[in-house]
Amino acid sequence: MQGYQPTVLRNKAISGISAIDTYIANGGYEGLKAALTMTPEEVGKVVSDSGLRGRGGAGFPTGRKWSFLPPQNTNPRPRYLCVNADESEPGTFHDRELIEQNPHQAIEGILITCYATNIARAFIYIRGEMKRGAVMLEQAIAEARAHGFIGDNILGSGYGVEIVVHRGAGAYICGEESALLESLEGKRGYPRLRPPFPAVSGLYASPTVINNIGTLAHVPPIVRHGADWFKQFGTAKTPGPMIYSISGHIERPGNYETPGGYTMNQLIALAGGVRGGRKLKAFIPGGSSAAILPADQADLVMDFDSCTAAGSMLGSSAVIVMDETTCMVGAALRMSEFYREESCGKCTPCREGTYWLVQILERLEHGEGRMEDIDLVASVATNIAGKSFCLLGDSAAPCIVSGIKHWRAEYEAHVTQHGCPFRQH
Amino acid sequence: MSDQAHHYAVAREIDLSRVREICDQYRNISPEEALMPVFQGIQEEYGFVNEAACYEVAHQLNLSPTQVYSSLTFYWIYKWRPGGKHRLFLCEGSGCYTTGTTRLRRVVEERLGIGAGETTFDGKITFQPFSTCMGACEWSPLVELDGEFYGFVDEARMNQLIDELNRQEYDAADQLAAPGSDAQYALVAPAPNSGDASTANVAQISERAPSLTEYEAEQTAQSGPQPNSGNADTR
Repeated sequence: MQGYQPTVLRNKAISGISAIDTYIANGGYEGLKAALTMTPEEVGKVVSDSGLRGRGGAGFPTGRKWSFLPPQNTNPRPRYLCVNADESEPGTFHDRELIEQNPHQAIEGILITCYATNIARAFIYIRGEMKRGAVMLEQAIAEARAHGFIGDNILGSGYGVEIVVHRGAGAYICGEESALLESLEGKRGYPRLRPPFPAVSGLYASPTVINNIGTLAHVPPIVRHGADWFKQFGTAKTPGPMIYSISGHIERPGNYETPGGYTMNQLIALAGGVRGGRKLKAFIPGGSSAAILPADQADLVMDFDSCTAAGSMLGSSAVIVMDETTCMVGAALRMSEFYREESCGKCTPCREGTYWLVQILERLEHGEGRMEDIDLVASVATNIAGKSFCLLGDSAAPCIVSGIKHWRAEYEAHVTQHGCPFRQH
Repeated sequence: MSDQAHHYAVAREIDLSRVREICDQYRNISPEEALMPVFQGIQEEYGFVNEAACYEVAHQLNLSPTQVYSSLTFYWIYKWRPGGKHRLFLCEGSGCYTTGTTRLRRVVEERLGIGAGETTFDGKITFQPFSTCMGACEWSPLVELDGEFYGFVDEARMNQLIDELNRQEYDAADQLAAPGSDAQYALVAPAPNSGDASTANVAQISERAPSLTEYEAEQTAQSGPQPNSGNADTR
């Protein structure tokens, strides 16, 4: 960490980088200029070689995603880029910091992506709650346009891109890529059946690339410094720097950009330790959709594959720290309430299942539970996962299943003590 | 509650000619794409949308009213009845939950006498706790009042925020009202343990709680950002 300079959240090292002049003075838009001297295929190859994986949750290789676009001679329809800035996973806030403090890097990444995939129109779908972020992006786009980075003829290359900011209206499901497309088309944010995949038939039935805004902000330094530079950070399977949003019971919550390959213990130390000097009880490595892990697994390396191997997932790298005063039933109830609210209602397992999860957990938390409720709630959760239409249903189960697996005694205490043992009256 | 804070007009009707004006701003994009921005415009201006506006937008954008209605009812940002002048949001996402939003909710419910999603009967304050994360967990627990974020809120700070709303809304009315008239009495209950409410409150909160934006600006001015050490370092 000593001497490491952030490459994405550069606002941490350079103040005022949200202004275009400061950004350009610090090497901004150099990546775009470098890209314009290459052919689009070469840019795509650099990004593929770098091994950059999507930072939005799934960890899908970005270069491969771009390569799924059908060749233009077989599909003449216009192509679109949809940038997913609908960051609403509980615990995640690195995209908000990026958009508000370093918007030009995101825009530069979008422009390079458009060039590499030969797209002339990009939509940024930003969540409705981030009004300030939307205003910042609009401002940054206007500044970039004034400097000739956006428009019909970018820096005299004859290549043109338009970027449109589209504000959502408050729906977690719209972070799911096909629901995002539906929402952009002005419909209810229901996920679509796949195939056809968005790369073939996405927005307005045209070939569409959908990338997370945080992922695209990694592209300018990759193009500028090369794939090998990028691979020196991180682990073999998750190259590149990683940004973690650390929140919960931690002394200094916030976004931390690391050279990658950090363990959970190192992250906690980085963020000043557990709040109030208390003991770590549990942590979630990737937002509320990931399984809760107990403190004895805190030596876990925080990358995509290690977290999956440990039975959880890195997801959007939103680390929630819980100390010994946290009630696991209460936490599971809170997360289930979130999924009940946000379930779009399209498919039955998710719509009904999340509702019943909340009912049963509420019963347990308020001391009216029965012993068999513990297995019942686990059974409902496992019956949602894998049987729902999209990933939202799958995300509702892990917090409960892992909670019962590791803290079954705590669930039982809620029944035998007729209430929550952690509640302070 | 800075100068930029957005106060909603307490309107009961939506002016349809204004709806047409908003629609006119989005003639250059496809009607489906224009639907969300148009309704965001109406929602921001009036604090709610209604059926009449729905029909007008459908007519203007040449979409079927069913399609418009189906889209609108999906998103929580669009409210179907007018809210209060002030909007008080309490984030109850996983991050904020661990740091203690349950107690904050109790404070609001006790002092304002309203539950989740309700408005005080005089239409001044709407309280909305929600389990959807606001995406600012580094400041948890988080409260949003009139579009402004307030971070690291504990019970005392929550009381302070409500005190200030109380002062803004009702003290001015006190001076105008004749003694004994209804307007003299603040609807909002005084904070517990604050002694003689009428004087103690004012003294106690003469230094009002800074909002996060103000707080951050102040901190940055003092120390400047720390290189790569997590933005929480600076506060």
